Amino acid sequence: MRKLLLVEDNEMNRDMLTRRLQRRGFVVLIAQDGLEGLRVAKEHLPDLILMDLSLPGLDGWEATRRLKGDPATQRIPVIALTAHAMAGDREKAMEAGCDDYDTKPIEIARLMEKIRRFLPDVV
Amino acid sequence: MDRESRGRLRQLCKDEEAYEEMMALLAEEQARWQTTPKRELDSEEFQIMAEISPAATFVLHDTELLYVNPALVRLTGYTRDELIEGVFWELIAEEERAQLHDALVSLRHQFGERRFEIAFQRRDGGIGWLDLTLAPIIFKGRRLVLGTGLESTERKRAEEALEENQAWMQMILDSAPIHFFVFDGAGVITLALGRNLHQIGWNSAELVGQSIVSLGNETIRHCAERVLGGEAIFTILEIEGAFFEAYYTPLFDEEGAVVGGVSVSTDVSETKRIEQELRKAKESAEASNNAKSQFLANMSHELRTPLNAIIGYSEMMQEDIQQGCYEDLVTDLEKINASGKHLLALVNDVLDLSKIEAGRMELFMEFVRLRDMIHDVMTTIRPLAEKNQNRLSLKMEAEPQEFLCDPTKVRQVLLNLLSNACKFTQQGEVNLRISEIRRGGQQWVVFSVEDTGIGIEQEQQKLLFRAFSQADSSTSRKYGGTGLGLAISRHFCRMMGGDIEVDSLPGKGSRFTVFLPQNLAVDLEPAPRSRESNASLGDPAPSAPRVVIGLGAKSDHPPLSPPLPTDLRRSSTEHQPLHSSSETSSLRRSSTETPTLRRSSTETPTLRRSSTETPTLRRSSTETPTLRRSSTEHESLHSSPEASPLQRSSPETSSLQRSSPETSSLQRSSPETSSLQRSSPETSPLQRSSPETSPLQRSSPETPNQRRSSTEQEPLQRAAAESPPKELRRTHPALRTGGSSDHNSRISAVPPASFRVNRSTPFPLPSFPPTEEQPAEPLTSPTSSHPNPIKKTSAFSLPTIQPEPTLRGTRISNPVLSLPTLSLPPPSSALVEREPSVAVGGGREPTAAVGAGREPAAAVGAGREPAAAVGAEKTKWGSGVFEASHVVREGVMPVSGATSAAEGQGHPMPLVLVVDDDPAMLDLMTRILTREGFGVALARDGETALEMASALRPQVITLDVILPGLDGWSVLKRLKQDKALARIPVLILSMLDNKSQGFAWGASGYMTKPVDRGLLLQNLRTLSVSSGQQKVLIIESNERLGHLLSERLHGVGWFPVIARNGNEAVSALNRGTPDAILIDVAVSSLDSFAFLRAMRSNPLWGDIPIALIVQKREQVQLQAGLLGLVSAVFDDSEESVLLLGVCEWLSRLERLS
Repeated sequence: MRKLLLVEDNEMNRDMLTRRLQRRGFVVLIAQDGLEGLRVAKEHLPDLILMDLSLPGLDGWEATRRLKGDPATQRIPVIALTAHAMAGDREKAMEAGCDDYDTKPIEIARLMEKIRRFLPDVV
Repeated sequence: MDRESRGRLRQLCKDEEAYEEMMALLAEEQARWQTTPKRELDSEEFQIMAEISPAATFVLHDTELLYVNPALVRLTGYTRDELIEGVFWELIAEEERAQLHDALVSLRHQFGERRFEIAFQRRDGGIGWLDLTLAPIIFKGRRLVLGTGLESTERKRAEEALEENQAWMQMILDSAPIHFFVFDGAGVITLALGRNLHQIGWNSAELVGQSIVSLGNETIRHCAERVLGGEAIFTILEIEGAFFEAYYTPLFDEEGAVVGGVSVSTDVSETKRIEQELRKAKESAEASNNAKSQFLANMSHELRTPLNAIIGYSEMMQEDIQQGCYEDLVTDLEKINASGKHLLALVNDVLDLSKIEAGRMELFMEFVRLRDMIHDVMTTIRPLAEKNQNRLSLKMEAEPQEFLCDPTKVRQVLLNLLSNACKFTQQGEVNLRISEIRRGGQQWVVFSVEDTGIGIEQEQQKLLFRAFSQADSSTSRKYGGTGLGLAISRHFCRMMGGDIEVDSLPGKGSRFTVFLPQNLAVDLEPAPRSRESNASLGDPAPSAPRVVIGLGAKSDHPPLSPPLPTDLRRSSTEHQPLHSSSETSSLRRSSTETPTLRRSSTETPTLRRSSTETPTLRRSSTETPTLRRSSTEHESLHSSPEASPLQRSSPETSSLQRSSPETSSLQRSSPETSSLQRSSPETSPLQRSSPETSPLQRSSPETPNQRRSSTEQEPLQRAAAESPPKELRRTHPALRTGGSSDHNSRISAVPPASFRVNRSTPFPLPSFPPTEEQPAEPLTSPTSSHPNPIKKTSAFSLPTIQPEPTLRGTRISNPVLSLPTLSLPPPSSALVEREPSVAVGGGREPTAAVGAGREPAAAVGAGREPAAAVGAEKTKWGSGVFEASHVVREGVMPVSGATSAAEGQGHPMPLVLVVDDDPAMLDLMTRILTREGFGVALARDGETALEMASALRPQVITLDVILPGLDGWSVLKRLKQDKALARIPVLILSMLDNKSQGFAWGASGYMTKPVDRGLLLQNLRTLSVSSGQQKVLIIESNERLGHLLSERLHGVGWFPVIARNGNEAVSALNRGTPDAILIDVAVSSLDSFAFLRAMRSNPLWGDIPIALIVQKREQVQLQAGLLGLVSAVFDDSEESVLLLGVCEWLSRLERLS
C-alpha cells in the first residue's frame, strides 16, 4: 500500500482529502505544519508528499526546500497543493523544488492523475 | 611785450609793486609758452592747408566763428556764410553746445586740447557725428581756438547698433528661463547672465570675477573641471531648491586649446515638480494596484479554501451515497454548509467594501428603540460567546431616546465588534456597554465593546481599520473571518456621522468604542413640504414627518463634528466622573479638545501606559486585525443586512403586541408560535413522546436552524396524522364567518390546559397534555412578561372549530388535491389536469411541478403527489414524515379578497406566492416554506405572477427582480396599482441590492440572495400577519387607552399600529402607509397641528383619513384649520362612546372605499 504524507493546516481540507485518499487505498500520514511535515517525512519516508504551501510556522515552500536539500528525503516527489492560484504561484512552487503543483479546490481525478505520474502502480 | 603794452600795464597797475608782480607772472607765462609747440602760422599758409583738409576745420574767437573750411560745409550741408552767421551753433544740441562753450571759456586762459564727440544736425535733417578737437592757437597775436573734427557718424551708428543689439540680447536673456556663465581657463567667471540668477539669489555683477568654485555648488564645480578638461556635459543641477538643466561646453582658442567654458542652464523646476507629482501618483497608483492585486490574490485564496471543502465534501458524499455509505453524511453536510456560509460572508464583505468605495452605500435612517436592537444583538452573539466559554454581559447605562441611525448598519457594526471580541477571547469576559455623552452641542450614543482577550499590538492598531491591508490568511485560517469587518464598520460609523476607535493592550484585552450622534438632524433633509410647514409653525424637529430614507452618503463621509476628544471618550467609557467640577468646566469652556484634559487622559489609562512595558504576546499583532468571524458566526453577521425590512417592521409588531395582547392573539399566533417553538425545541413533549414519527430528527443533521424546523414540523406531522385533514377545511369557513364577536364565546369553551400545545403547533392538538418541562414563555416574546389568560384562551380558539371533511390528502392516502374550495377560473383548473404551471405546495419534483412558466394561467394544485415530496426527502434524509398535511393545508386557501385577509393572518398557513425564474430557487423555497407551514404558490414569470396574485390573493408575495419578460419591478408596480392586490405585502428577494427602489415602489421587505432562511421565515411571518388588512395608525401615549383602541379596532377587522409619540409615528409611516390615522392630541411630544399639516402636504399621505381624539375642554380650542384637516373628532370623556365612534368611523371608511 502506498504511503502518502499530507501536510495541510486547514482541518476541513485535511479531513476531506485524507478520507478521499484513504478510500483510494492510500495510507495517509498527516502533518499540520511545515516542521511536522519534515519530521514525519524523515521518520516514515512516504512515497509521495502533498504539500499545502501557506502553512503556519515553517511554510510549504521552505519545507519543500529542506526536503529537497536532505539526501534522505530528496527523492520523495512533492506535489504542491495550494489555493494560491494566481500567476506566478506555480513557478514559485516549482522553484522551491516541488515536483508538481495543483490548485484548490481539488479535483480528485486530476490529483490522482498527478499522483499516478509519480507512482505508476497506483490504480 | 611791446612798449605800448608795457605802458598800458603800468597804467593799469596801482603801484610799482603790482606792476613788478604782474611782470613776473608774465615772464613765467612766457617761459611756459616757450616750452609748448609754436602754433603761430602764416594766415595764407593756414588757409591753403585748411581749405584742402578733409577734416572739418573751423576757427573760433571765443564763440565767434571766424573761419570754416569746405569740409565742414560739406559735412553740414550749409554754406560758409550761413555757418559763420550763426547757424553753426544751432546745429549742435543744446547740451553739447553748452559743453563746447564751457571749453571755449576755459581755453581763454589755458592751453591744451579738448576732445568731444558731438552730434549735429545736417541741413538734410540727418544727424552726423564729429570727433571734435578744440585747441587754442595764437594767431597774429590773437588767442584763437582751432576746431578740427573727423566725422564719426558711421562708427557711431555701428556702436549704437551694437548697443541696441546688446540690449536686445540682454532682454532676451533676461526673459528666457535660462542663465549662463562664461568662465575662463582658471575657472573665473567672466560673464554671468540670465533671469534665473536673480531667482536663485545670485547677482550677475557679483558673480563676474568670482571663481566658479566659490559658488559652493559641488555639481557646478565638478562640471567646470570637466569642461576645462575639454568635455561637454549635460546635467541637472539643484540650486537653492530650484532645478536646472545645464549644458556645459568648453571654449577653445584657435589652436584648439581650452580657454574656458560656457554653461547654459534652463530652469526646469516646474517640469521637475510635475514629474515628481506624476511619480508620486504613479507610485501611489502602483501601491494601490499592488494592494488590490494582493487583495485579489488573498481573496482568490480565501475563496478557494471554502470551495475546496464544499466541492470536496459534496463529491465525497456522492461517492458515499453511490456506495451506500451514509455514516458521515450529516457532518459532511454541516461542513459544506459552514463553508458555503463562510463564502457568502466573504462575498458580502467584498461587496460592501466595493459599494463603500464606489460611494454607493446608502443609509436607511430611522428612529430606533435601542433596547430592542441590543437585545437582538446580544441574542445573536451569545452562542459565539459561549463557544469560547466567554462571559457576555451588557451594561445599559443609558437608553437614548429618539436614537436616529441606520439600524442595520449599527447592528452589523456591533455584531462585528462583539464577534471579534468573542473570537479573540477564551474563557474571559466580553462586555457591551451603552452610554451617552454630550459634546459639541450634540448628544452622542457610545457603544463600548470590551474583552479580556489576546489584545492588539500598538503597531497593528493603526492598520486595524484599513481594508486590504490585513488580509493575512494565516490569521483568518485560525480565527476565520475576512479581515474586512472593521474597515466596513468604521465606514458605516463615519457615514452615520460618528466614528470608531480602538484601545488595546496585548495580552490584556481590547476595547472598541463606537460614537454615533444620537440624532443626526443636520444631515437629514426634511421633505420640502414638511419644511414649509415647519417654517410656518416655527417648530421643526421631532414631528417632522419624514425621515429621509437612503441618504446615499459617500463612503468617506467625514465625521460631522470634530472627532471627540480622546479624554472625553475615555472619561465616558471609563466612567470617570464627567460631572466633576473641573472637567465639566473645561468641557463647557471649549467645544474643541481641552489640552489639560487630554494630557491627563493620555497619561491616565493604565492600559496604554503599561503596553509599552509589557512584553507582547507572540501572535496578537499579526493575527488580530485580520480576524473577524468564525464560520458559525457568518450566518448571524450576514443576516444583518438582510434583516433590515424585518427590523423595520419589528417595532410595529412589538407595539402591536404590547398594545393588544388579547385581541391580536389570532394574528399573533404565528409569530408567537414560532418564537415559542424556537425557544423550546428540545423540550417539546411531542418530540420525546413520538420519536418514531420523526426519523428526521434522529438522523438529523443539522444546524440549529434545521433542528428548529424539524421540531416545528414534527407536531405538524403529528397533527396531520391525528386529525384528518378535513378538519382543516372546516377551520376556514369558521374563521371566515366568525367575526371578532365570536372570539369570546370560543374562548370560554377552551380548556386552558392544552394551550401550549396548541400554540406551539399550527394545528389544534387538544389531545396532547401540557408538559411541566416546557418553559413558561419564550423570552423573546414581548407579551410573555405579563401572562394574560384572555390571550391564552383566545389563542386556543381554533380547536373548537369543527372539522369538515372537504380536503383530502394525508401522508398515507392518495394525496392528490382537489380544488373545489378554490374559486379559480376554469382555464386554470383545466391546467391542473395537465402539467400545472404552478404548483401550490411542494411537489415531489418541484421543477416539474413548477413547469413551464409560459403556461398561461395559474393552476393551483399541490404537486400531484404531495406525499412524494416527502419521498424525496426520505431517500435523502432517511426521514419522511413530511407530508400531505402540509400540502393539504396549503390547499386551504382564502379565495376572495376581503375575507382572505382576515383568514390569512388568522390562519396558521398563510399562502406565499413565490415569483422566481430559477427552478432551484423555487424548489428551495417550496421546501423551506412548506416545512414551516406556509402554503406555496409558484410563478416563474411576471405575467403568471400577476394572474396568480389575483386568482389566489396570497398573504405574501416574494418577488425576484430579474424575470423573463415582465420584470420584478413591473410586477411590483402593477400589483401596487391594482386596488385589489395593493395590500398584499411584497417581499423582494433579489441578487441586486436596491432596497431604496424596492421600498420606493411599495415593497414591504427586501432581502438579497442568497437569503438567510431564518430571516426569510421571520419576514414572511411578520408580513403575513398583517397582510391585506387595513391598517390604522394610532398615535396614543396613554397605554391603557391605546390597548383598548387597538383591541377594539382589531376586533372590527383593522390592523392597529400603535405609536406612542411623534417619532414612532414617523417611523411607522415610513414603514408603510396606513389606511387611517387616529391621533390623540394629548400626546405631549406631538405637535398635532404641525404633524397634520406636514402629513397633508405630503402626496403619499395626503389622502389618509385622520381622526382626532380630544379632551372635551380642548374641543372648543381647536383651531378651525385643524378641523379642516381631519375627517372626525372624538372626545375621550366617555371611553365606550369613543370606541364606538371610532369603530363607526372606520366602518364608514371601509364602506367608502
